Amino acid sequence: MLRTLWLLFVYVAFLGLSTSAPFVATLGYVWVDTFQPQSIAYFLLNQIPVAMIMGVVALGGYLALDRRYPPPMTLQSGLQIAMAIWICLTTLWAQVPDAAWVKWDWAFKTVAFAAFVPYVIRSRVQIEAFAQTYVLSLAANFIPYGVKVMISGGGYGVNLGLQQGNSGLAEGGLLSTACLMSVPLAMFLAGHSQLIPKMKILPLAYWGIAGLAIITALGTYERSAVVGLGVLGIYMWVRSKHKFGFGIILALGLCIMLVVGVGALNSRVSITDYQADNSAYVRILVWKWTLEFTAAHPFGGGFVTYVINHIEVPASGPSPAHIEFGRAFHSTYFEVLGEHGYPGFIMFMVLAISTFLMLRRLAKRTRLDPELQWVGALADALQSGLAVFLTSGAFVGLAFQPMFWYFISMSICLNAYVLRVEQQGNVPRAGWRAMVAKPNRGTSSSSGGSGAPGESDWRTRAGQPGLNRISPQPREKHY
Amino acid sequence: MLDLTGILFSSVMMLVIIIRAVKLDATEVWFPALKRKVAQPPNQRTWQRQK
Repeated sequence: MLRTLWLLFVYVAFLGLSTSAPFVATLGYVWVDTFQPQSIAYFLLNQIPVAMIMGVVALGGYLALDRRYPPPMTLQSGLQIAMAIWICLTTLWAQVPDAAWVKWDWAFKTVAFAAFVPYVIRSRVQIEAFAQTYVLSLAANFIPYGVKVMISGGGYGVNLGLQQGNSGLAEGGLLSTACLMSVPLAMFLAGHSQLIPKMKILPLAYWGIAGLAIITALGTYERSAVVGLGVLGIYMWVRSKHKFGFGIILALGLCIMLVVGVGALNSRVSITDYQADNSAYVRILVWKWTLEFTAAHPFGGGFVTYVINHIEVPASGPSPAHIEFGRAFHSTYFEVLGEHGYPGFIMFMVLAISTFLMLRRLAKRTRLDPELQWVGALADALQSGLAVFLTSGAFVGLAFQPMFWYFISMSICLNAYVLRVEQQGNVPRAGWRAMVAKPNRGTSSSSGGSGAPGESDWRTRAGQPGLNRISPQPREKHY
Repeated sequence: MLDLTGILFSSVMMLVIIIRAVKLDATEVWFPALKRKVAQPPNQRTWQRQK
C-alpha cells in the first residue's frame, strides 16, 4: 500500500515537473521503462498505461514547447530510424505473426523512443540527468538484490529482485548485463556529477551502487555475467588513467571472487567443454539452425522466429538423442540475424561499431580540454558499457532491450553536445580541419577575408536562432 | 524491507537530482563557448613559404 502510494507520488512528480521542463517527461519514460513501477505497484499504476501516458507527454511537450537545437543527422541517428522502420517491415512477413506483433509492440517503442531521445536531451545537465535516471532506476532493482546476495549467496534462477516471473529484469542474463553496463556510468557519476548535492558521502553512494551492481551480476550465476565482468574489468583498466591503482583493485576483486564463489561458478562456467554441457551445446545447434534459416530467408523471419525451430540433439552420455522445439536464440547477434535477416544484422552491427568508434573519437578529442573532461569520461563509460553488452550479448538475446538503445542515444547526445559547444566557441580543429576551417588564412590581417571573424568557419552558424549569442572575438593572427 | 529501502533510496535521489536538473537547466548556458587556444595548422611553414 505504502509502496504503491510512493510510486504514484514519484510518477505524478515526473508529470508535474515536466510542465516546467519538458525533458523531465523523457526521464520519466526512462524510469517507467527501466524500473517498471506498473509491475511492482498493487493498484492504480498497474491498471493504467503508465508508459504510454509518459511517452505522449514527452513527445507532446517536445513538439509544443521545446524544439530547440535539434541534433545533426548522423550515421547513428539514421541507423536508429532505419532499424525502427526495418523491424516494422520484417514483422509484416513474420513466420509467427501473432507472437511477432506482441514483441514488436515493445521492441518498436524501445527503438523509436531511443531515436527520439537525442532531440530532447541536449545540454550537459540533461545528459547527466538522463544517465542519473537510468542508473538510479536500475539501482532500485539491484540494491536490494545485491544486499540479499551478500546475505544468502544468490543462485542461478533464484529471483531476488523486485520483479517477479522470468522476463525483464527478473531474468538473470538481462539483469546481470544491465547491472554491469551501469557500473561505469555509476563511477562516472561519482566523479563528474554536477547534479549530486555537494555532500561528501554522496559520491561514495555511487561507488556503493557500482559495487552492488557487480555483486548482483555475480549473484545471478550467469555465464554471461562472468564474461561481461571480465571484459568490463579489462576495458576499464585499458581506459583508466591510473592503471596501477585500478589494476590492484581489479586483482583484489578477482581474488575475492575466486575465494568466495569459485565452486559455485565452476559448475556454471563450462563453456569450454560444450559437448558435456547440454545447454551450451543446444545453443550452438540453435545458432547453426539460424544460419541455415537465414540462408533460406535472407530478410529474416520476423520477431520470435525461433519458435518454429526443432533441434535434433544427438545422444551424449546417459541422455538419448531427442528433438527440442522452439529453443530461443540465446544470442543477441543470432536473434537479430534470425529475426531481421542480413539487412537488420548489418544495420545493428554498423550501429554498434560506429557508435563505439564515435565514442573513442570523442574521448580522444576532448582529452586535453579541461572544460570537456566530463565528456571524455562519459564517452569512456559508455564505451565500457557497450563492450559489456557486445560480449555478454553473445550468450543472451538482448537485442531490443532498452539498455543498448539508451547507450546509443546517450552517445548521440554527447556527440551532438560537443559539436554544438565547438560551434559556439568557433574553435577550429587541429590538423587538416584547422586548415579547412580557415579559408581566409594568410589574409585575415589585411583584406580578402570574409569580414567578421568566424563567418568563414564552415561549421559556424552564428545567425541560427536560439544559439547562445557570443560576441565574436578577434582571431589570433598566425601568419 | 530491503526492497522498500532500494525503492526509497533510488527514487528520493532521483527526485532530488531531477529538481536540481530543472533548476540548473533553466539558469545555465546550454552550450558554453570553449576557451581553447586557436589551433596551429600543422604545416605552417609551408604556408609561409607560399605566401
